[in-house]
Amino acid sequence: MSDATVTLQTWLATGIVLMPVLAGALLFARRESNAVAGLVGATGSGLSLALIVWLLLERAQGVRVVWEWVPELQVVLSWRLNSGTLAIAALVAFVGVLVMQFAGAYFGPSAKGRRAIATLSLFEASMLGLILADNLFMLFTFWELTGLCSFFLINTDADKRDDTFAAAQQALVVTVGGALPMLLGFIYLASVGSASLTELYALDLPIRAQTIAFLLILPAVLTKSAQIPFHFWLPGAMAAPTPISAYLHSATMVKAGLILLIYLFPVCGGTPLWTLLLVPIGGVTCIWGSYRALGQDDIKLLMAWSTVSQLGLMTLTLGLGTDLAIRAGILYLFAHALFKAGLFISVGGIDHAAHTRLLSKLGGLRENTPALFWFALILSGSMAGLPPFAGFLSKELVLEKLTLAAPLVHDVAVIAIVLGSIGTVAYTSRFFFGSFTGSPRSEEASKAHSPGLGFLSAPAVLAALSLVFGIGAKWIDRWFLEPVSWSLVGRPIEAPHLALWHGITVPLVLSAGIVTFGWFLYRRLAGRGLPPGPEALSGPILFENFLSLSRALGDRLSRALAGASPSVYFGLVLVFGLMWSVPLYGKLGDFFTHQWNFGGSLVLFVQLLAIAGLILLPGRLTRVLLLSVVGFTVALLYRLLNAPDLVLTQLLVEVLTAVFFALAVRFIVTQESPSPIGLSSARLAVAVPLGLAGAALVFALDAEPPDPRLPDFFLEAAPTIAKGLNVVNVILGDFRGLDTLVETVVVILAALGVGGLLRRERSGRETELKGSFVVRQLTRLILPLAIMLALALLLKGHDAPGGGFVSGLSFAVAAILGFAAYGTRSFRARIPVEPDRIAIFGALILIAASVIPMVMGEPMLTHRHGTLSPLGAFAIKWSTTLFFEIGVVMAIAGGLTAAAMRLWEMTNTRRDGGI
Amino acid sequence: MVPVLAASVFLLLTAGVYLVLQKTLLRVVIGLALVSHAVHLILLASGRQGVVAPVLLPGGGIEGVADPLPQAFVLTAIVIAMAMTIYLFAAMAALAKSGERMEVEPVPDSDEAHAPEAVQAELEGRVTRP
Repeated sequence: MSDATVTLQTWLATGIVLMPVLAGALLFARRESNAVAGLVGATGSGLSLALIVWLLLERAQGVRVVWEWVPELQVVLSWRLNSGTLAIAALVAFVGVLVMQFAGAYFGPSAKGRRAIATLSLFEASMLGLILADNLFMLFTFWELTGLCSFFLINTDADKRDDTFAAAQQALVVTVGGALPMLLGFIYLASVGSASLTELYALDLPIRAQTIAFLLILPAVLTKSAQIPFHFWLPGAMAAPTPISAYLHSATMVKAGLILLIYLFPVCGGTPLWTLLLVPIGGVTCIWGSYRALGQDDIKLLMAWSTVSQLGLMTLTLGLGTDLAIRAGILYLFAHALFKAGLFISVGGIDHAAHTRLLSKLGGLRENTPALFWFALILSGSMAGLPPFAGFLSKELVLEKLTLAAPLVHDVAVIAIVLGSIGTVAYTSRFFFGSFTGSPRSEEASKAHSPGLGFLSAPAVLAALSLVFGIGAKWIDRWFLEPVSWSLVGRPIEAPHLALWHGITVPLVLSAGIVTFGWFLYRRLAGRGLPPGPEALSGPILFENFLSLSRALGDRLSRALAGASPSVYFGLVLVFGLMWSVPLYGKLGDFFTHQWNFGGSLVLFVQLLAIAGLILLPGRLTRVLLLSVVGFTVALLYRLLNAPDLVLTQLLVEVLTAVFFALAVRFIVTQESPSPIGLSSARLAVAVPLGLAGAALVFALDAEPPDPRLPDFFLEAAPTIAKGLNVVNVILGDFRGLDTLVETVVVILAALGVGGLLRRERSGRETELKGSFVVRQLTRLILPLAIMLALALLLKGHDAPGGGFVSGLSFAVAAILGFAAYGTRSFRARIPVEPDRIAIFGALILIAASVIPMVMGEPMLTHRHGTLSPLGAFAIKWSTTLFFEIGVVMAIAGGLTAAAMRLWEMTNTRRDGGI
Repeated sequence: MVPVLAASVFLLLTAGVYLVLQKTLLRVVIGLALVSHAVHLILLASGRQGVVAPVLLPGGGIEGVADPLPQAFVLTAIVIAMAMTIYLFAAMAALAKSGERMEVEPVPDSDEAHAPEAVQAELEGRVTRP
């Protein structure tokens, strides 16, 4: 095949979908096209049909890629062309032509009709896309588009009836909701195989994969094709005008599920669940649909329930899961589309002629509408499965398939089909004789007029086809069923030839029995209605209950959560986080394989006592005191881990935290109950597993030793490149200077934040709080020592424990001691600059230390090092990291001192206020 | 040392989370402090254990020296955790001064208060919550 042919076929196939879109767009855009809406819609469908026939004549075969939409996710717009897909598309387009033409006559020249036909055209395009798509994700997209279009279509009569919206919503929720698991199924298929149907056919998926995919896709099939328990939306959708029901609920939308089943049969037909689920569901639907159809007074609802029943029959047939069954299902699908579309349109004709659709008011229409009578006779005959019509042929094929093999499931299937079919004969008789024969039961019916050509042409064509289909069985088999079913199943099917007369066979006997019993049933019922079954099981009510239940559930959930305290939210978050840690727990076993450290266990014991006291002992100050004790035990653990800088930092931090607590204590403890915190099981249930997860994490980290290159680099580079022996401080001041810079900024922000939270309140009193005489004298002694120590920590930090952070904390402790002893006023008088200014100045130094090397053309935060030996006697090491460290010291010491002074002054004013 | 570390992390984390889930602010702050201790110890556990501190002797080798990188991380983390604690202390003081209760209070549970219109009105500043 030449490239030009492939390109042409790609465009032709795309055109099939585009033609109805163009027709729809035209109708939406041109308001003056009211009168010709039906013609425009029919032309769009007709052009599609022409293109399909063209491709059929070309014997187009294979995948035609139009557009690689998202190739990474296997989303590709491509058409799968073969005689099977094209034949189904032809059916949809053909019925489309007839329905559009009928709709034009039904609606007359009106804006509503124009919009309905435009939407119907868009629906047709989505349906054609669904049939022809090769890519599963495109198939899904078209599938959902049909559901969306049907929502608007069912809602067409919203101006006349108030039940349309509920019906439309029901159909949308059920079919779109059912399709969601299908998307999962498609994603699954794409991940284990391919997103292309054609490629999937070439694979032989394992049964497990087939089962998973089938179970995920099944809800979509059941909802779209109105199988029990999702069948109820279909009778509800009868709120739509007749042309729409005739199209959506005969040949197209409700068939989508069956078409998908046919398409997926070669992919996941191997799973035993295929038969085990589809046959019972289809059987029950078949019987129940028939029963409910028998009880209807409205002939349109009768048709709807009949559709439910026949969809069940087709599901059951396809569910048998053999090539022959698929072949029978395909034939029935076509036969059903022809007679059901024709009957729906006839119902529209009856409604138009007699102005009623109720059997209790109809009757005797044969007199005034003879043409409709004959067409309806043929179509009803086909539906009831009488020879020589298409319906007979297809039902025979189904029964024949069933009698060929005889395991239990087939017996069940035969019973279901026979029961359903008896009902079908009976309700078809009710419809036909009730409408056309006897005497009119109302004035409208007696004054009925023959509907115009617009109402008659479609039933005429469909009736003729139903007849030809039956009579021409031999040619239908050869030219239609064989190529279509072979290409859809993907292999030749050995099957007996299709014929009206096979001699006296089991299926024929069954058929005769069905017709006899059906007739008998019709005579016995004689127009009496049947009870609709227990109300609690009625679909719409169950659906309403489901909706209100889910609303109530959502309401209750949001109420429960909205009223909860933040600790409940936080607990929930932690619980979800916990799920992630479950695999870690196995590591806890390492506890017994490690050597126990004696010094460590002593520290641990103290820690345990402190924590137990924290929770179990009364007293507010006790809690904070014990928190400090815990801090000291942690510092000891740092010592055991050979981290001297951390020990220093931790100790200073404990001191400072205690100081700040002491400053704010008067405010803090007022609302805290002094009674013990105690144990609560709900909180423990969250806390203990998390604690265990933390411990497990330690073992897990220990089991996987870190890459030695990183620590070795720092250990080797610190003395050589950065000329420092305290590697931790070299990292902080030099290698990772940017981190330190940012972290210092965080501390400054916290300190400034304290200032912002607590506005300064100056008291009018001359005297202010300060330390007693003894304290002042002691401070006089200690303060110089503290400052010396802080300075030493700063200067020696490059080679020994200490450094910027530690030194800054020490300066802060010294400063706090200073203003606590002498009072903030005299403290301020003695220092040259306000502490918060010192903090900001420190930050500026840090910024300068980062920027200056950049100005000099070096990377940010580059440092220089060297040794100075004045007079040749001393050797003083110098390094520009010192400036950086000084910046850190000023920022931290200044920030913390400023925050402490703010708290101190606030405390004092409160005291002055005489509380 | 690893089992001691793990046991301590268990103690600190359990008690910390337990306190964070309490209702009064002081307990939450203490809980956060305990949780940060636990996290620091976990960070240290991620590094190579050593028998010698990473403060080198001139000319000495690097055999058996503890991993300096986690120590540097933890050092800054300690200072930042302290800054946070101090900030929370100040926030509690400010709250107490303005006369507000210092509980981690539940959102008031009334239909009007969290009906969408009420929330919208609050966002637009039309109604102020009592």
